[in-house]
Amino acid sequence: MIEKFRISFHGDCSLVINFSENIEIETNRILYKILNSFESDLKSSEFIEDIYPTFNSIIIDYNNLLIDFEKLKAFVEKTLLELMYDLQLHSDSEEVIEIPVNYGGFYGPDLSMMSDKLKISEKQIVKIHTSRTYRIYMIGFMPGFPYLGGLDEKISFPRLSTPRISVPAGSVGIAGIQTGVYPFESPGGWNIIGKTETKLFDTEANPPALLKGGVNLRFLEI
Amino acid sequence: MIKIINSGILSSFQDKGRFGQKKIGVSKSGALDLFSFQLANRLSGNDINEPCIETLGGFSCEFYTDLVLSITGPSDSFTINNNYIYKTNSSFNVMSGDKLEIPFPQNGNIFYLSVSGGFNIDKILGSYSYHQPSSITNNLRISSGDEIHVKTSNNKNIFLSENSFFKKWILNDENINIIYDDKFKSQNLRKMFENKEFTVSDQFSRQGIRLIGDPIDEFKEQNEISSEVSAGTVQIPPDGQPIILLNDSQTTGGYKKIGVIPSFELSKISQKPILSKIKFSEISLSNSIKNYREMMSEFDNIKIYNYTNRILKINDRLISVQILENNSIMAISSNKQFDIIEESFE
Repeated sequence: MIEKFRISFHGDCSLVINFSENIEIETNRILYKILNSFESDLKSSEFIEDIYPTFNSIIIDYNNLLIDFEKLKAFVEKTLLELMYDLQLHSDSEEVIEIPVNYGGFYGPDLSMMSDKLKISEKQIVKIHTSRTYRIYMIGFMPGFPYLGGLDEKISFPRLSTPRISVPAGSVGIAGIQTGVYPFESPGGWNIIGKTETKLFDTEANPPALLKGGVNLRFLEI
Repeated sequence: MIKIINSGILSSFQDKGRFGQKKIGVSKSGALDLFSFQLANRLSGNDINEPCIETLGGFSCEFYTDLVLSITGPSDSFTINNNYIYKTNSSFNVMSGDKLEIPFPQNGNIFYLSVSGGFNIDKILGSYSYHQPSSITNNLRISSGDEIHVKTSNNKNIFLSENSFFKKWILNDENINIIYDDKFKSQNLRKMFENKEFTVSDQFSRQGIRLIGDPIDEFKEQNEISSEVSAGTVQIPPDGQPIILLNDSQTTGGYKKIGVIPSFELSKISQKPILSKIKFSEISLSNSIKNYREMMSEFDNIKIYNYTNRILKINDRLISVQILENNSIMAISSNKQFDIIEESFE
C-alpha cells in the first residue's frame, strides 16, 4: 500500500503526483485506481484540461488562468488522502486484450537474427513471447502506443544500432526488456518480430484507442 | 470556396487544441502562437477559437467567392493579385478570382489566416487541430490543390490592429524564461545553462525546436524512465543540444528534462526566427502566472481600428495607404519590391 506521494509541477500548467521513482506493478495498479476516481471527480471541472498517467505518476493539466497551482495542490492532496483511505486493493479481475500476430519472415524481419544471436529457436521465441500476459503501464510516444511490462528476460534484446526509417503500422517489437506494438507507421529502433492486422487506433471508433493503460495484453500466434 | 495553389511550409488547420486525449497518447496540438491565432479571428469577426490556417509561409491560394479574411503574425506585407498590398494584423476584402500570396516570414515563423464565418471542416477527436506526428488527422493538413469550403458570413467590416502588444510580448528580445523542474536542483548547473547562448536551428517543426550551442556535457549518460512532457518542455538529449518541445510533441519522453517555458512565452519561442540567438533565465511559477495574466489582459485590450485601404500609383509605384475612420493614416506600405516606407504614424 502506498502512503507516500509527492506533488510537484512541470511548468505552469501541469501538476504532477508522483508515487515512486521506479517502475513497479503495485504502484501502477494503485495509480490507475486513483486515476479512475480522480477522473470522475475532476473531469467536469472547467479548470482541468487533461488527466493522464505515466509509469509512476498522475499528471493533471490545468488552465492556469482559472486556478492557482497552490489551490489545485491543496485540493488534490485532500482528495487523495480521502481516496487512499478508502482504496480497496482486493483482487481485481483485470481485463485482457488479445492481439493476434503473424510472427517471423516477412512480418517479423528481425526474428531470425534474434534467434541466431540468442541461440533460441524462432519457434521457442514466439512461444515465450505468447506465453506471458503483459501489463499496459501507460500509453504514450504516439497515439495508442502501449508501454508493456513483463517480457521474459530470456528474449530481451538490445535496440537496433541504427533505427529503421520506417516501421509498418501493426509491427510487434522488442527493445531491451520491453515489448510493444506500433499503432502507426513510424521510424523505430525496435527489433521487429511480427505484425498484427488488428487496427489499434481508429478516430471513428469509440474509444478510438483499442489499448488502454491499466489493463493486460496477450499476443496470440496466428 | 478557396483553392490552395501552393500549400507552403507546414500549413494546417489549428484551433486552441485537443484536450483530454493524452491518456491515449494524443498530445494537445493547437495554434503554436495562440495570440496571433485569436487576433486573426477577432479581426475577421469570428469567435476567437474558430479554426484558422496556420502556415510557415510560401503559401498561395485563389478565392472562388467574395470574402473578408485576416492574416496575423510577425510584421510583414503580402499581396493580392500581385499588386494590392496588405500588412499582417489586418483584415481585408477579397473577391472571387483574387489570388493571395503569403511570403516566407522575415521577422518570425508563423502566420494565421482566418476567414469571416470560418472554414467548413470536420472535427477529429474533438478538435480541428492537425497533429503532425501521426496520420490520425491528415484531413486537417493543407496540401496544394485542396479545395476548402467556407461558411457564409455577412460581415463586410475590415479592421487593423496596433502592433505594440506583439512588440512587447512576442517579438522582443533574446531572453527566454524557464520554470525549472524541482528535480533539476543544482544551482551550478542552472547557472551554467543560463550562461550559454543557443541558436534556433532549422530543425523546427510542430513537435519541437532543436537548439544549437556549446554542448551541455553533464547529461551524456542518461537512463530516464519515460515521463510526462508538454508544450514548452526543455529536454537535454545525450548530445547536449537542447530541444524545446512544442504542441505536437509526444505525450511522454525519455530524455533528461530540466524545465518548461512558461505559457506567456510559448508564442514568443514559436516565433523566434531560425538562426536567432536565445538565452535562458529562471522564472518562478508565480511570476510566470503573473506575467501571463498581465499579457492576457493587455491582449484583451488591443486596439482594433475600422479602416479603408487605398491604393495609389505614383511614378509606377503602387502604394497602399490605410486610412482609419477618423481620417488618420495608420500605415503606408509600398509594393513588395520596395521596403515598407513607414511602419505606423498617426
